[in-house]
Amino acid sequence: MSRAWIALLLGWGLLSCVAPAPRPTPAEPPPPAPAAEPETWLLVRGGRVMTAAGPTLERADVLVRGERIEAVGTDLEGPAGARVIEAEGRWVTPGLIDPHSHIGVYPQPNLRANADGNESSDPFTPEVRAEDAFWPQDPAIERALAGGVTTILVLPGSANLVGGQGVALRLVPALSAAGMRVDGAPTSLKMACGENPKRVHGERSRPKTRMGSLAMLREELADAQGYTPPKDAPPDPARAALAAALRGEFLIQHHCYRADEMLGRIALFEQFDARPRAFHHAVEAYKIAPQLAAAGVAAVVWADWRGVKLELEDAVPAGAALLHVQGVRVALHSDSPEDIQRMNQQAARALAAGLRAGLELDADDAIRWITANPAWVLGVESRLGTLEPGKDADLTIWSGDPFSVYTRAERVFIRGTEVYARSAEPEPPRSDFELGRELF
Amino acid sequence: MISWLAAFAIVGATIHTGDGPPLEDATLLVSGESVVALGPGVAVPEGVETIDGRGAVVTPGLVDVLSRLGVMEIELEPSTIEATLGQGADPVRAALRASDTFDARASTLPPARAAGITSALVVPSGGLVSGQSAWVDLLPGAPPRRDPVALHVRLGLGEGPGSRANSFLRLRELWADARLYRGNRGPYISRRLRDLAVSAADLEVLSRALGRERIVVFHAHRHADILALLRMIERQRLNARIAGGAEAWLAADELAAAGVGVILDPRLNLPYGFDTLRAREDGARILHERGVELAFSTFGDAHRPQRLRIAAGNAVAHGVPYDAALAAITRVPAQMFGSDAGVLRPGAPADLVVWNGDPLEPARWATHVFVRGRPVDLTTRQDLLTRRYAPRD
Repeated sequence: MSRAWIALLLGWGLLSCVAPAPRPTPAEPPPPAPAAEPETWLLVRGGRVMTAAGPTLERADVLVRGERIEAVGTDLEGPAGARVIEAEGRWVTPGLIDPHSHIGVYPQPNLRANADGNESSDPFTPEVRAEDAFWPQDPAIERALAGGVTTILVLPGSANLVGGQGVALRLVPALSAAGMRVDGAPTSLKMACGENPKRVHGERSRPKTRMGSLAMLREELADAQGYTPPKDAPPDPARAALAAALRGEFLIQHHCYRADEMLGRIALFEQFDARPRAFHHAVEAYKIAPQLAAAGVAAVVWADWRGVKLELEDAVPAGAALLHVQGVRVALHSDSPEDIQRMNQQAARALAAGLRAGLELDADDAIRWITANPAWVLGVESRLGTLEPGKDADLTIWSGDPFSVYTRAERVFIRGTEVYARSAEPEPPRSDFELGRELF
Repeated sequence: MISWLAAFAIVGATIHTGDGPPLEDATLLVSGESVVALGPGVAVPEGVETIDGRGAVVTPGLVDVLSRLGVMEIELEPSTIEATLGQGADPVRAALRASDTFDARASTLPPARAAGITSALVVPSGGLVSGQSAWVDLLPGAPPRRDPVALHVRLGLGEGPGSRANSFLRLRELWADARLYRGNRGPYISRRLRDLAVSAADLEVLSRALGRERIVVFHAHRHADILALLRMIERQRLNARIAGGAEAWLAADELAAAGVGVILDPRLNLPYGFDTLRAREDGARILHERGVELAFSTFGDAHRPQRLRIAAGNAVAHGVPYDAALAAITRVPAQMFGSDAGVLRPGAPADLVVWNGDPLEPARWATHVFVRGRPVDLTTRQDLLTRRYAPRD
């Protein structure tokens, strides 16, 4: 099994990225319009509510009107006919958000036929889009949902310096990524530096080194800067995507482990009046917390991932906490169909490591690492990530303290609709791939 | 950290012995390398140093029996990976020993100790017959305690078609050769025997496995493979365990009847491949309920040792009783490989961990770890980096 896991890790953690194209493309149907039903009300009553926007509220209510949160507070009442869920003894959090997933593009089973996350034919593929490979039958989706996750950023792998476009998806049943998109969410553009691009491309072409990686990216950015599609010729989708990223319309999600490389990338993008939205796998971000805070770049980290590559060598379990106490926006990511099922436990481990190191922080800080802060990384912070009036009603009801290993998600709502309810008996699989296989 | 004491006591703690329900408000007395006494009424002799255990939980040191501690550093740097049959090597090397390259000062050991792991079975990897594992106590600089312990067999010669069929074919040939060798060492040495498929060193190890002097660990996931292995185990009368076991729950009754224990990761619930299509998170519960001997492991994840205890916690969340889950990372894996560690009772080795709460909770951590009665420093390189970069007030 360890060998299979290593292969998986190579697929995701190590190699992640893709490129942008102007959207929408004509062939793509818009997400289905919500059916015109009478507005439904939902009252989740009497739970401990971690809003991710302030202190935990004891015995509080969350009132949902249609797709949005109407109110959060005590002694709330819905109109007659509102569905009421008694949540006494339960905990309520925003739906969890994983800002770095390869679900659907490196789906299960993890076979060559399914490996669609790295268009490694060229170190620059800004025009390709993760959603064009996304397989909505990935059995990992329903397991992530059962872990209380409601939104994921699906990114291409990191084989390329610019790997392509990532897409924010809601974990709702759908027949293609188009039906799962967080409507209005900005496109993300995945970039990578460090070991992966030079390992993947260095054998047969370039880059062979970190200096080559930076020089090639600088050249590509200079070429794309200020690009506008010609009126009399087809547009160049690769340059258009890079230009959109430099203008800030596409969010730059930059895979980068080492502190020196992050500083180098910040300096490079400054030359183009741009900056990354976040560094992902930023295991050495804790070494440059003041610089990241000043630049306004988020750090997306693991609680305790180590050992695969040399550039992971200085990862520390207190990294998230060190960043948090120095004012950096921290998000935890899974990069794994296994760990996405337990984002809450990852936050608990990262919090515990910070407390063990003597840092001052608490559960109300750590819950933001898997809700509000990844929402910002995705550029959807005005709609997702906290339980506040006006936000989308994406929420998870937990059987107890979400930072306990014994706690499980009991119910999950996305835009006010119940998309998961834990049952005592195993349910039939949702993915077509698994259907029937458990019976025989 | 306290210095090495000839004797010490932990007073007023909740003590999980690894065998049955916890003792509350109990005292544990250690002298030298061993547990001397434990229980609610144990008196502490005068002059013995005490650790205040109020609010703390004491467990046996954790045991990981499919470990790569001390034989691997960085997965993508081949020069840092040891105890393995590399690409292109002969896939059958029963005589290979993980102990030859075990480094008791490897960077992976301090985090493992800090995660409460005090012993490990360090296993070889690669090939079909990977070689032999060694039992190590995680004391700085200490050589393996017992070696060799078990022979490790992995189904799957590459990923080509017929990989499993070829694996079974080769294994049948190996057992036949080893049986012939076992009864004819003299003729073998004087070259009066037909050609045998592997070297004398390999035959010697395989022959010991046939004589039940060497445990055989079969690494396999698929239900059909586990059933086929059980037939092989019975026919060759092997002392065997199954490791992996994603679909072992489907063979729970057969495993229980054969008395073959299973080592698994209870969190494995994804169809990574066609041999784990029926992996499920409550597979451990089913195996436990049907009476199969059950141990959990990190499966060679040398860099995230915390996963051992948290895996046990997740098993509890999916129906395994707490005491059984704790035993699956202490007493049972130790027993499976003939160690007297993993349990706290008078006379047992003083491998123990003091936790600031429930050891299966990610929010808690180890505050003291003792290996064979010696306190070990829980500082890691990661702690030093954290201190170096922590903000100054």
